[in-house]
Amino acid sequence: MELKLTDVTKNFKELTAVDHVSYSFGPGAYGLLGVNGAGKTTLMRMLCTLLRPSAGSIELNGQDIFALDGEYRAKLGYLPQDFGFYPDLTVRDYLLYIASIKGLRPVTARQRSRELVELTGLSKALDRKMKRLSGGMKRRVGIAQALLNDPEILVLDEPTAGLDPGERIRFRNLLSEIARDRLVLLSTHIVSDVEYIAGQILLMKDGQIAASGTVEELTRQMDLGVWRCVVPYRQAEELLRRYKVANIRSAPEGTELRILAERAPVAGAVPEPPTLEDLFLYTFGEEGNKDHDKV
Amino acid sequence: MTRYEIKKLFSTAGSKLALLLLLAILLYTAFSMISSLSCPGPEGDMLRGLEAVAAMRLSQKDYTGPMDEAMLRRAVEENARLNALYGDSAVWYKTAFAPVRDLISWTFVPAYRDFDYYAIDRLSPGEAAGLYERRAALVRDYLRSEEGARLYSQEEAAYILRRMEALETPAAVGYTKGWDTLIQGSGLMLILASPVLAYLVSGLFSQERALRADAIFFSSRHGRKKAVAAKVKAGLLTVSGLYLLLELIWAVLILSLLGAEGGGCSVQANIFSWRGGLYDLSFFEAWILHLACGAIGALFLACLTMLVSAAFNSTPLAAAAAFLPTLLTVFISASSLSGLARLLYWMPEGLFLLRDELSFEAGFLQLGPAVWPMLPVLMVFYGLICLALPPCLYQIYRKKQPC
Repeated sequence: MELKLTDVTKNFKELTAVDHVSYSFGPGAYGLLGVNGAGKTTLMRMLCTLLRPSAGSIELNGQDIFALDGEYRAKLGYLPQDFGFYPDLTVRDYLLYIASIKGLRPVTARQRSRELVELTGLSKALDRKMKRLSGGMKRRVGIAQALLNDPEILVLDEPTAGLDPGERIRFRNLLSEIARDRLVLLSTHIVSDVEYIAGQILLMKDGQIAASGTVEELTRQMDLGVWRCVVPYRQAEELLRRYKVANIRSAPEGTELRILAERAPVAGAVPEPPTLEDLFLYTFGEEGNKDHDKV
Repeated sequence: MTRYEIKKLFSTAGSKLALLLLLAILLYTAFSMISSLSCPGPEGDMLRGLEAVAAMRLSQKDYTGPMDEAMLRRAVEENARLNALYGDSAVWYKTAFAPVRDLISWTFVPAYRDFDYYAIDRLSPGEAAGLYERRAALVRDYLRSEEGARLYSQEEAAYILRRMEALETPAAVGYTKGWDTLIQGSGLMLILASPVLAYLVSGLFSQERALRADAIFFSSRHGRKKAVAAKVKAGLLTVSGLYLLLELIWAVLILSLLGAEGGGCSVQANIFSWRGGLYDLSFFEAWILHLACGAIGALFLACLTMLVSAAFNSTPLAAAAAFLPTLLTVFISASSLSGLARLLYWMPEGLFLLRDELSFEAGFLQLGPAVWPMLPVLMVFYGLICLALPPCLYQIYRKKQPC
């Protein structure tokens, strides 16, 4: 299976949300990282045929996905960032309804719904109205609906938002399992989720894919080192102004900083292996840091 | 799919309230219609509601059948006998032939729009036998009058007279309060209920956007085809199903309370279409026609509402669209622009008010020398719209872009 984007561009009047993106997806898990407004959601919506590209093409195994129409969407599972549902339907009815518009036969729909509510830990909430669910439970229903048709292509926009740590771990494991033989494209602000799940990372900036590869490949490209040091509070303030700081933590002996710098920023700084979070800061700078703070 | 769309529709609190409102409209209409029925009582008082119905049903049995010369003579003779016997207090005894007396009161008058309650007192049995000829003369004179000539073209006038002469006589009369109330009350009920029916489907399309559920909907396999068709189907099934249920409950309620006899009596022998009636129908046939017209009217309003819902993604706007024809009717009625008055003939309310539409006063469509009364014109016109709107609705919504 190959999902290929060729020079895909999407303009909204003056704004270019996605700018000449070319990429080829195969089976596996892909993490899409970028600050707000980088074009991630627009790209995902085009992959879900919700938006047509202004230019370029998206093809599945050489065939235009918009021409494939329902045939393509039959292979697709999508969880939007803003997961909308019908508040007065029960979880059971909601899943059966979505199964019906996904083209599942009633018997299969019932069986698949049962499997997924168990998998997502919703068995006890099956007859509860959607509006009575907690934020995390709603998100789990969202994940369940995306998986109903056992999709070959799974597009998940912020799937772990609102999930508690236990739910997140369970979901990460589930996705890792699913991604073995299908395409999973995941967009999230929670960098650690991407790190765990995605084999390939796509960094999106200003509507373009700024970089892509495995975490190791991408961090290897960084021309800054990562340093950990403990400094007095006053000195920490100065370092914050001078360097890109990935993490700050109060320690008994001062302030512990994780700094991105060419060489050791202070005497005694210890080099650390770079992580995806460091890469995020490296790529998006303060803009990314600001955005990252929101998570 | 359709099943779940219907489930979605009825799952909201607003829909449940709308269903309660429909029930309230039905009960209110039944109450107001039945309580408006009256007839003179034996003590010189007025009997009202079910008491009046019981009195009329019992006494009018003797005047059931073809309103021929014999029945007309009998009514006039009986009227004279009762006058001689009881004087002013005879009204109670006259209830038995009240339907015949009423037609005489509308016929043996100087001009088309006149009514004379005492006309029967002045008639000889021989004169009363000429009831049908007198009716034709009355309409003919009216069409030649200044008002008639202003309102109806020569072709229309000729058409009216032709249809009137073709009406089968003698017309069958009898106790018909049950069927008469069934048709009249149902029309009034539908004027109130049809916007509520349309309201029920006003969120069918727009709610997907409002709830931000459209992204999943459109990205699903059938999201651009079958699922959209299921929505249209659900809207039409909901409205037509509820409409039929409403009519069925109404019919059972009214006919069981007011009596089901008289279904075979002729509508032309009823006051509402006696002088202007163009159709040879029994009450039962008129009710079937009313059901068909009402269904077209209710479906038209529902389709209009769904179209606005799909095109503008706005439930309040769609709900408001359900009231648009009524508001337009009020506006035109209040307007002093005479040119707009003819538009009233084209309003969908006509489909609900069958009693009015059976008369030539409901207007005509004239194209060259060809003339059609408005009832079949409205049925065809709104029927075609009802056929055309669902495919338009489907095409509009399937091309929508989610938010």
